[in-house]
Amino acid sequence: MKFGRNKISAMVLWFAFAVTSPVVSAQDPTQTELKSSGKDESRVYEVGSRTRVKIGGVSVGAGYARFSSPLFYGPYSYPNYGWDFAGYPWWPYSGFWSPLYFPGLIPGFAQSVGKGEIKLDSSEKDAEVYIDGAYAEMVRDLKSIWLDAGAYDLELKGEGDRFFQKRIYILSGKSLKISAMLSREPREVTP
Amino acid sequence: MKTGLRSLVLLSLTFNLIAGTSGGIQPRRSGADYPQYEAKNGITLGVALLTPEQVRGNFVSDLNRGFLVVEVAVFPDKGKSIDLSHSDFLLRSRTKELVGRPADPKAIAASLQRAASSDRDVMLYPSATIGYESGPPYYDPVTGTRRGGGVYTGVGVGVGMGRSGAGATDQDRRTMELELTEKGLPEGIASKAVSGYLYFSLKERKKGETYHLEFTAVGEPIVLPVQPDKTKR
Repeated sequence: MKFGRNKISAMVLWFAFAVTSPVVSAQDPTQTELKSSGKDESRVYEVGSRTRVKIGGVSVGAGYARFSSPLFYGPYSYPNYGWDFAGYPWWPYSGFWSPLYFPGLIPGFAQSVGKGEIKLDSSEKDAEVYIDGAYAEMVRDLKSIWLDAGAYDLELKGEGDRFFQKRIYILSGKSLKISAMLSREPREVTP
Repeated sequence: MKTGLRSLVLLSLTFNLIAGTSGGIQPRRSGADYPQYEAKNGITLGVALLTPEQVRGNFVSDLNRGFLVVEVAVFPDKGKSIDLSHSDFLLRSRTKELVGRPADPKAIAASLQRAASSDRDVMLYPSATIGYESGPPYYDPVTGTRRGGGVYTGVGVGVGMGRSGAGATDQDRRTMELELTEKGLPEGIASKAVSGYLYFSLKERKKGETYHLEFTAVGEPIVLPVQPDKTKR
């Protein structure tokens, strides 16, 4: 009986502690970091959201329709489908690439969700491109590189020991333009 | 004796790490290469404010959204060293009002990630068509008129709306944090020139507002106006 009373007291105590103690839950880590960012003087103010208007692309079309009977069959009938069928002789149903083929479809440095783009430009098209020390391609074949978000060491090696080195940071959905000028000495970081 | 030796080794290791630190950016040749500099208490401090265009060109992280970026370089006098800490820097407004101390890269990255995840994109897809049709006249049920062929035109615009999603993932937050840390002013004991960026969070960016950077680590504080570097190097 005495043991039971102690047990009830312990449960009451535990309940009181559980209610009054701070709630520790799997909350958003970013929230925690913001609150514990140190002294009040080094606080970070909230950054507001914004809306951007972009042009997704412009499509311009041209067509020709001819009908020889008075029967109306509208703009969406058979003659307009002919243009679509014309694409089938191309990839993937034959061994040829379509003239409309998009380079981003090639696996490797291809575009996909969660990746960021490097737009590489250099006057030396034969320079070799290295990413994190691994050979990627030549400049002329790698104008656009899609990589996962992260930090990379980009290096270009040209003729005569000329090179370009840069630490790059990639964010998903964003593009980074790099104009690489190769030289024999490392270039100074300039703001 | 053994403890003393161990401390010496640790101390020298610390010195080597900081003196040849991999963090920060390459300092300019001297303090005089910065728009504002002052030599005092055994060091020369050089500062330069980055313009929004320079911030855009130097950082992938979108620091123009509420942050002021200051390039800071510390040149210790020959044979001297200094213990650097971000908390020794203060930013004040023209009226000497405290703006704040440098913000932590972790907190900045978290703030930018949250802002990016609430961004919206409105995509516009304009289209234009021109064509020619030929044939006998016919009755067009859409317009209720008789058509006899000829040139036809059409224009349209498609609108797409949604969350941007760019720079909003956890991996993006880690990348931003890494970028800001690696380019930030290194902390610790420096025996030779070090340079890096300090990031200050602004409640609102007032046009034409000028700021002063205060460095309080050694003796009398060094106060320098923070101005952009207009000369092209």
